[in-house]
Amino acid sequence: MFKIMLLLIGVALTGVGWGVHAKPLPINSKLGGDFELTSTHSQKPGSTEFRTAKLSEFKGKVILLNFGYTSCPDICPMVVARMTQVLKRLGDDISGVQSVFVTFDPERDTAARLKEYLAFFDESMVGFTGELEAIRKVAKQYGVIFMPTQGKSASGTLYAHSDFIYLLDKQGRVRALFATDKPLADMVKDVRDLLSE
Amino acid sequence: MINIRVSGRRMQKRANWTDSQRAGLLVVIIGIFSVAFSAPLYAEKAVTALAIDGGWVRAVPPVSKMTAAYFTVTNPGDKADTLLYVLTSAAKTTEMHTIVTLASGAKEMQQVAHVSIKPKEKFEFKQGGYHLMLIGLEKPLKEGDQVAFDLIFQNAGKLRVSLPVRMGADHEESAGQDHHHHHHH
Repeated sequence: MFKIMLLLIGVALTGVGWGVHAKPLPINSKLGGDFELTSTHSQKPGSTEFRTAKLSEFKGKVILLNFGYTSCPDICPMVVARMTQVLKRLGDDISGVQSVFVTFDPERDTAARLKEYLAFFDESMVGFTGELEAIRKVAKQYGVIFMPTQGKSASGTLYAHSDFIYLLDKQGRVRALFATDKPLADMVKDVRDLLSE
Repeated sequence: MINIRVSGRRMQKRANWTDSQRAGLLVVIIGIFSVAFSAPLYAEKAVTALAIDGGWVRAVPPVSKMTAAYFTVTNPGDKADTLLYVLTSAAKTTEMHTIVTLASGAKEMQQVAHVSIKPKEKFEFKQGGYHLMLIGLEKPLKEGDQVAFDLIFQNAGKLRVSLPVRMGADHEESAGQDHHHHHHH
């Protein structure tokens, strides 16, 4: 009986040990890549004009990336709120993390509008907008689907779209895709794992 | 029906009425008939005790003229009821939408005309699922504001609720999980 207990404790400890030294998040080589679009945080000093910026300018930081549109009443604000919750839970580690939102509705989402929208959630969140064709290319890089829906809603154009949060490592490589039901604690853990790489 | 029988008696007693008086009485009778038999769009008084709880409205940036509201409808009765529409002075229009996951994995919002609440059912309007869309917000909604809604049910009639505006952060953990329920009172 004692031996069995020892064995069980041994198995449990092995499990804990394995948990601590979990395998690193796999590198997704099929998705991702750098892009250049109009950035909400690249305003010329003293000017209202927005300039383009590259995602790779955040190299060295862990990136939480999401695609959406500001006229989206349910999913997008939910996902953005989840991103801000992760940032809050990171505490001081937030300095090593950049949250990014790319709109696929550039007609309505000007850089100014996008900036105001994101600041409501978190001032540090950077938005990207631009020409629809350029955005399409980026969406394709990340496997993001978006298409206007045919409905009679009074809300104007709505989109059917993917809603993953992409976790990128310090080198800009996609390491995880978070679905909307991914627990925040797990997301925080994955971000911390990448920060310590 | 009772009113009409009473009117009939009165008419027999007063046989010496003028034509105009008779015509007037006829108008009154027709009036009673039309009130008694007109089918109202919804029942004026609650006939079943539907309960609305756990409700909240998502705070959105002032640049956004749309938001969503969420709540749970509990139907403890033996009869189904239908949420026909929702009124609020906070927005120009309200619509009920659900979210459907397409074969591609993309999620699509689809408008629904009404929502049926089965007997003994708890029906959740929640993030990533059924939600009430507020279109054309009259003014920005700040965290802590209260928004009044009239929920119009086919049987239960009008239920007035006041829902708080929240960032939604403390609800995020349960997003998309059917088994998880939040209660806010």
